[in-house]
Amino acid sequence: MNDHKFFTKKILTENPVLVMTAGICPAVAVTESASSGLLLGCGTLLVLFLSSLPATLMKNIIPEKAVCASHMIIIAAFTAVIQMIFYSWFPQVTEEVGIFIPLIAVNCIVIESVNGFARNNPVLPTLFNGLGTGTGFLLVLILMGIIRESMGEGTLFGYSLFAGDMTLMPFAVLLPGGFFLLSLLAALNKHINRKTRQKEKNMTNNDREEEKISS
Amino acid sequence: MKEKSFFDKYMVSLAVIICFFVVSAGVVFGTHKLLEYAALQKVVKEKERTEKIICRNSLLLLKQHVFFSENSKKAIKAAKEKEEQEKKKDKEKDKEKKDEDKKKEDNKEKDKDNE
Repeated sequence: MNDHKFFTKKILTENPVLVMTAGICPAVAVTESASSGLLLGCGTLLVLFLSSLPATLMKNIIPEKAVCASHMIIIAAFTAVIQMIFYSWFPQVTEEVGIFIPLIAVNCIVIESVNGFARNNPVLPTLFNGLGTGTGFLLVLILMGIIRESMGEGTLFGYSLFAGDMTLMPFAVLLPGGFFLLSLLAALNKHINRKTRQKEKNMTNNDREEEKISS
Repeated sequence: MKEKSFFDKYMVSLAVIICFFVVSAGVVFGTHKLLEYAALQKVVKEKERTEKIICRNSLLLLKQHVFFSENSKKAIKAAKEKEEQEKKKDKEKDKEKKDEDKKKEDNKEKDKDNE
């Protein structure tokens, strides 16, 4: 498999939130505003990418018994670094996101990607996998944040969209609204995946028929 | 065959974990110090900017003060000149009046002499 396919695969066909249903808790809890979703998504992406690199580079050095602990230490260190950077650069949004930034360290997406994928694969696929997983998570968070904030509060990144205090669907900001939107996105993603798979199947069938005819 | 002791069994793993822990702590501490330094630099820059603004403003105030004091000196001088001129005019008027009165008195005396 080409290395860049790990990236594209993790965004659509194996999206961590929509397909693997991992990291749902922060995805629903934080996406009340688009800026919070963007910040948490960026944080997760950075932690994933930065932690994957030492994990895959040192997979032959670390003894089997110390793998889990070492990976946890790497992830926790990068999470602490990202948290400090976010606190100094975007204090207000980081305050809004709150506990979910330190909780990146125990996010199952990050642990699976670093502890599961990085320890068994070479450098490039690991990096593409980390980038793809992080980007997939980030895209879902941004999309959910944009939809929930614009529908529920009538604002986007803090700027009001409609005149006055008009809101289209106040239900969207609440937790049930978040779960409802997440399920809708998952269904849409499944539909798109099925369509693309069908197209690929048809194309391979056509190619086989053409080969038969030509032979 | 002699069985390995607990220390022999886990020594390498423990050493690796401790190494990772120390390096991670170093990375976190380094980042913290870097961010602290950046924040300090930001504060210093802000302070310098504020000081520059204060200096510029006080210079402007000084210039304004000089301008006003020069203008007020000029105004005082002009007012004094005007006062002097008015005094001169008053003196001349008084003189003219006295002359007229004298003339009138002379005329009256002449009229009396004629009578």
